[in-house]
Amino acid sequence: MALAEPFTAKDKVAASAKRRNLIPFLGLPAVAVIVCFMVGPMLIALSFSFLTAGVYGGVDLPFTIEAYRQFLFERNLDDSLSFDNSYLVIYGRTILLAGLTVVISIVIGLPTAWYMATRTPKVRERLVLLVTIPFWTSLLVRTYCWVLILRDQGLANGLLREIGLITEPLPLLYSYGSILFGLVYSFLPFMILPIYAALEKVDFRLIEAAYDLYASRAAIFLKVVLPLAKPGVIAGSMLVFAPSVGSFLAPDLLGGGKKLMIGSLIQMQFTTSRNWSFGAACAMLLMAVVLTVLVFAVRQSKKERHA
Amino acid sequence: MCRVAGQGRIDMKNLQLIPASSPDPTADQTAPSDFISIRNVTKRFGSVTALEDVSLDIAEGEFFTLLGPSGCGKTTLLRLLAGFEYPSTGEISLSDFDLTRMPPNKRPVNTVFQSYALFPHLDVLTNVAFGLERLGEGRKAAKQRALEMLDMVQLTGFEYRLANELSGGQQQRVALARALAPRPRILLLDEPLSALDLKLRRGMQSELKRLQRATGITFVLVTHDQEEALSMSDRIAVMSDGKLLQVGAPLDIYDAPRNRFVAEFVGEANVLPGRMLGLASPYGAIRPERVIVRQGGAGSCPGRVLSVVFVGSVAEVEIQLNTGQEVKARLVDGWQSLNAGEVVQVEFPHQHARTLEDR
Ligand SMILES: Nc1ncnc2c1ncn2[C@@H]1O[C@H](COP(=O)(O)OP(=O)(O)O)[C@@H](O)[C@H]1O
Ligand SMILES: [Mg+2]
Repeated sequence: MALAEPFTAKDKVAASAKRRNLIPFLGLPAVAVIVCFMVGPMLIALSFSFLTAGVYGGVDLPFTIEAYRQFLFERNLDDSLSFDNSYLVIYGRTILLAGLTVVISIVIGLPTAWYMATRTPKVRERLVLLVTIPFWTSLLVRTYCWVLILRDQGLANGLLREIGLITEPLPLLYSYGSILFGLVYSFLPFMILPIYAALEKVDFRLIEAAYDLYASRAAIFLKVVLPLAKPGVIAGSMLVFAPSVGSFLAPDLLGGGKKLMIGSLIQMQFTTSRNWSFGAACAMLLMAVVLTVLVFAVRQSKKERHA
Repeated sequence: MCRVAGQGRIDMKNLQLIPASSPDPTADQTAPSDFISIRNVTKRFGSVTALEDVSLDIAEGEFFTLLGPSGCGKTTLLRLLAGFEYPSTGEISLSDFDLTRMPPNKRPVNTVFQSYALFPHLDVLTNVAFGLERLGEGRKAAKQRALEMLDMVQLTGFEYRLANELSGGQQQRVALARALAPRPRILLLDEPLSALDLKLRRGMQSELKRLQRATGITFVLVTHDQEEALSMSDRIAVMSDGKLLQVGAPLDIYDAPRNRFVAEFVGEANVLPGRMLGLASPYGAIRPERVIVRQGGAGSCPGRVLSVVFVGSVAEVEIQLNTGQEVKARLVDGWQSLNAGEVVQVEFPHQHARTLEDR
């Protein structure tokens, strides 16, 4: 046995080395998918943003930074440039609305996820299904339904008039409030599900242990539930923030297109405005914003984990 | 501070019970010095009756053990004492404080969970300081006390580890330190040693005993291991099927089991018709080490040896009596010459036979 052992050990090392040599090749399909479907389109968009916009859409040579210039400066009649903050305002508004969407989603999502995670397994399964049901129909249809409900002659105003609370219809649509409502409605499941996933794994004995160790309900939430839900909250925040920033359905349909958000702006450049390179530049700038926020969020969570 | 249904109050910083008026010396003499009092407690979960009409008194400073097979309701009784569940009927009190429906964070009782239930996001020191901080102890004082507790369970140097970076035995000690740190009046332990291997378990048994003596805190331990119960406890309550069968000191329980279940669950026993043991009762029991086996000759109780198994200090001999019953004897010597199939005479010394209340 003593003689045989080094022999087999050496064999094992050789075999595992062989296996390790294969590993890069095993990763090929994944790399191919990432290059074709993620890096590729991004590079195309990036190059579009540095090309000249075609008159009827599309892009033409030569390379130029005209699109990025347009973002910050207006070209006057005499060809001089003057600073123009209207696009910056749109970006600011978008980030603010997306940020608020994240905050509201956390406030609604945490207790919802906690409620779900504390049910019996059978009920839990059903609740998860319930949360995901909206995904089965198009977001466009669902958002349009909210227009029908919230407009002046809609269900909500009709009901309020019926029970005599109002005589004139409330302006429920076409405001920041309605945009925010639409965003939260659209992306709330992306907050609930990761928090639920984090809380579902939590051993309920931990709650009992905290209760046993003189924690009040508030202390249990702050000292035990929240820290354990945190990975879910961070994941959910990213998942809600990114699509909120890029969303154009809610601002268009529920905001009436008057309060432009980045998503609508970009979408317009590729359709009615036929300025593809400006659309691509806006998208690149949007990506830069989102990436910055994500990197910051990840850093923050890492730092706290090591603290 | 917390006012409770009783006359006095519980000081929620130091977990002291404070009676309303100064103790009345005459009242002390009439009332038994009961500390924990469980009165006619029944606990039902839907159609399952986990506890049925349990009444039990536990004295202050006692090492008390709930012993019984799995599913007999031990954990349920412990959870009623902790406040995680409330009785369906009946009352629980501590001194003269009504605990029956007091929430866990209001009673001066701490629990060592079977699964330890250490907070995974907090380091060892913060885990141990958790209770004290919730009681309003300053952060510094709580940490100081936590360090003392870690020293007490010999875990100095592990303060800043996370729970999952510790071995099972170490997690156990942290759980113990965490539960003892607030200086509770009662410490509840639910099968605290069952997850440890045998050697570690023996060590922890004496450690628990040492901690109980050092702190003077009333320990209520749950176990299904009769040896553990016998070796550690001041008193034992044997449970079966949601009912208390017998309460007493280890020796009393072992030496005078009230019924067949207790006799057979706590140690081994030969349960036989009373007249065979010289008893008036229908049933009686005798421990295998009390049975006398003689080779050959005449006697009142002949039988045939079924097997002889040497287990170390003694040999276990199984004998089939001519009347049909199987009897086990544990012999220190005289067994070497016994062979399976051999005819022997069995004797049951009268002074070691015990009357059983029921089968
Ligand atoms: N929360 C509960 N819901 C339903 N039945 C329960 C619950 N807790 C315990 N029981 C039942 O009560 C009985 C006693 O359980 P338990 O106190 O855990 O026993 P032990 O700790 O002695 O093994 C068992 O039959 C168990 O199934
Ligand atoms: Mg149990």
